[in-house]
Amino acid sequence: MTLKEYIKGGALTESTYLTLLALYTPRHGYEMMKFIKECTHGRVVLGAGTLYGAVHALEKKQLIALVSSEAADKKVYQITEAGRQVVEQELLRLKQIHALGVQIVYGGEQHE
Amino acid sequence: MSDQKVSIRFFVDLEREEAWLNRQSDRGYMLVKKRFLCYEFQKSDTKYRYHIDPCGYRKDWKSYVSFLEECQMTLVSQSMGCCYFKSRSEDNVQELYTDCQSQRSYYWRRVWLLLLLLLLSLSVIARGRGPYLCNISISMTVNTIIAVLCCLNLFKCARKIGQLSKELYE
Repeated sequence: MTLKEYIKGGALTESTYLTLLALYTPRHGYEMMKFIKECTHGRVVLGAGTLYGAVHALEKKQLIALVSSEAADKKVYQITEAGRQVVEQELLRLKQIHALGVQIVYGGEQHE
Repeated sequence: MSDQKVSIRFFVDLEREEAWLNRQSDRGYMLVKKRFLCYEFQKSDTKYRYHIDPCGYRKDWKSYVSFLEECQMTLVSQSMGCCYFKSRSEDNVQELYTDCQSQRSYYWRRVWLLLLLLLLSLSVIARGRGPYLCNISISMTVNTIIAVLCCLNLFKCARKIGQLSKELYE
């Protein structure tokens, strides 16, 4: 029941990446689901059971942490410092492979 | 029409059971309790979608259920190792599991439950006898049917697990 966070080569899976991004603002489960659905225009939809696995695994790895539960005993999570580092690393990796793609696809003459 | 009704059903296939509960909801009856083979319904104007999760034996059951309730999935009842959740159909909360990995573990849990049921029915068949009707043993017949249904469902789940594993590792 745990989500695979990393695929080969250290890349984050899309659901992990989006879950981490969602938690830059403190959110509870349903808000995370809504955020991910809205910001990907419905392309990525996480079921509640799947999201539970993701949140549980990330909390165990201390990439996210429980912020003091609100009065309505809803569990609100937020990203930790370690989580931010993981996202920043991922952004760097994405930037590098994006640049490589642009160079090869649109900048053929420079590439020769 | 009365406000309550009780149905007695036996499902081996969870998907069929979900579909049946959804149909009941479309007809205006929501599930309030399930006990063994009894389903208690109550009249309701709200339409619900049902999700059955064979999660009864997990260690973190409590935190799992409370997380799902926060995600607009209400626990209706618990019976024979399965949790019955409902979500309002207009909330458009889709499936419980949406990625390969969690779907695979869902099917594995179904396999374990089916194996348990198969073992039970086989043990009844092995002991044989039972009450007779027109010279046919009722317990033998019923349990043979259950065993066959279990096997069919096991195949179905195994195929799904195979497909999902392929997607995961290829």
